[in-house]
Amino acid sequence: MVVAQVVAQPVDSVPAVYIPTGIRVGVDAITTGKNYWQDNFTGFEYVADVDFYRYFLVAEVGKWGKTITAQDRVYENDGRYFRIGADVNFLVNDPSRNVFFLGMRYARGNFSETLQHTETNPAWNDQIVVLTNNDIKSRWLELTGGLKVKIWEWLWLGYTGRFKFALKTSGEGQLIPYDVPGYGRTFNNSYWGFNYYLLMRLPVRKLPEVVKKE
Amino acid sequence: MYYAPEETIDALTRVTVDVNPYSDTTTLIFSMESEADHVMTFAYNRITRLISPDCGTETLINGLQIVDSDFDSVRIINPILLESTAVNIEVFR
Repeated sequence: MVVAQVVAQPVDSVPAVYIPTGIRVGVDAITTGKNYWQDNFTGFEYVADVDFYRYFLVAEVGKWGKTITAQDRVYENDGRYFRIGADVNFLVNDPSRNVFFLGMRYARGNFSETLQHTETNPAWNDQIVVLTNNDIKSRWLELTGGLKVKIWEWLWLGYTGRFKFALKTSGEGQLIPYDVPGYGRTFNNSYWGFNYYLLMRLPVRKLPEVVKKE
Repeated sequence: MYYAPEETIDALTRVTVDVNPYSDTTTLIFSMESEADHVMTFAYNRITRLISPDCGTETLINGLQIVDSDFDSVRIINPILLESTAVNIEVFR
């Protein structure tokens, strides 16, 4: 007679408790740095996330304004945006609590833009034309992935790669929107983005212990 | 507004004119020796796209419609203005 017995193999694991353990807030170093190394850019971007076991609720807010000058043309825009979404952590059992995630975002924004240029027309003469769009609404989707690594106590570093797509705008007038804050140039059906975050984690309760493999 | 082709055409069958790119309407006055002047005003939508700061802009004109005309009959054939030989308006008198 054959007797079979199934023995549970203990592995490193964290109990699935869907109560947040902390809030992580951060600032995007790349967007902040552009203020210094790009003459025509002003902006910022902040991020916050809250954990629910292996899932993170993520919110990001940002602002950017650009002034682009070439030949007899000046283009300016200024606007704000936010993204909200969720990430799934694939390092849930990591003893250091580092995070490797994939996720999705829904983004919305509003902005204004102005284009000044010289219209050349032999029949009606050349003329300086100023076109303005006020309060344009924008929305798009993003697939995200990245890493967040604990550096020291409450200090974290992390990056997020973004695949932006499905851009929609509304409220434009005679000028077709050119550059959407948070997204980029409108003539691209999709766009890649990258953020490098300096993060601070504010704990609200003790992290569950990682059960060690025997 | 008035647009005058450089050459006088005796037997006019087709004429190409530049619409005013700085306005949503253009009025054309057709001066003919054998009869009184005819006036036609049409409206359109202008949409400007910045291709790139270096390449410049392009303006698309569409939604062409007749606002006023004293010709016997005027008909919009193609409401989108293109730099081609496509006829946009047919005029009968």
